[in-house]
Amino acid sequence: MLLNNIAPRKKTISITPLIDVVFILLLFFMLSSTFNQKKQLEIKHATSGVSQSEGEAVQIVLQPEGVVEVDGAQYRVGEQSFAQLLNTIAENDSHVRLSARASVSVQSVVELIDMGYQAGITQLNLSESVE
Amino acid sequence: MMIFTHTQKPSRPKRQLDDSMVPAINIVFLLLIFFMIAGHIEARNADLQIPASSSEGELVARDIEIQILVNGEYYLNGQKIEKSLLASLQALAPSAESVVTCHIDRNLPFSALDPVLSAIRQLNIKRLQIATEQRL
Repeated sequence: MLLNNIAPRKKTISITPLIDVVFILLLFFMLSSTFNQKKQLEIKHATSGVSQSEGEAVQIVLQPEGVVEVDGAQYRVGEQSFAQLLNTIAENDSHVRLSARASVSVQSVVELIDMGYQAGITQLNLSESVE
Repeated sequence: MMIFTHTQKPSRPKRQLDDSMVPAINIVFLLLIFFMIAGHIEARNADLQIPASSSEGELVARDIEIQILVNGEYYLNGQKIEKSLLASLQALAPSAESVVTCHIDRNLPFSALDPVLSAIRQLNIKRLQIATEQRL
């Protein structure tokens, strides 16, 4: 009964520690989150397909400094004639066997695969590096 | 007049501070929610900068994941490979439908991919995915 007579003390919860925590969470999420999404390039290793289209497969070997060897002929990656060649390969729906010299960086090989896919090549096979 | 200002002074600045902080806290909350929802957290490794491409295919997590760091270390599903990659891959008993995802550092020479290519050829795995990031 006595307790009821006592006016309830108005407690004010300080929001400062809450804001501190929120700031820390904000910093954590700002520093650790990434926004660029991961993509993938798929290479279908048609092991059975290679043998049947062995004869008509186009052999592309990427050399250092942006030189590409297509069935023995040399091109440069940025060249117009190379882009046209890729388009022709895509139109003929030929099988491409891509390889690169051991010293060529992964990034340039990925760029070449990317170019091939953009030109419309669908059958692409990646083989081990050549010396 | 003097008495009035004296009695008001102690409580007034505190109230004013609290009131002016409220919009700032609102913004901080909004930023927090934005970063929590829009961004995604993942382990970042300075030794593994994946190549950039303009590919549109989303990277989906697969059962077999190979990582090749810039120092030439191979990791299979997060575990460092001490012996041959082929033997380690074989232990996972991959089927012909298996998909191997390869995270390789962009600065490595292409020959670093050779063990992966020869292993998946020998195990008759038909699909290889190379993880890339969006070109900015």
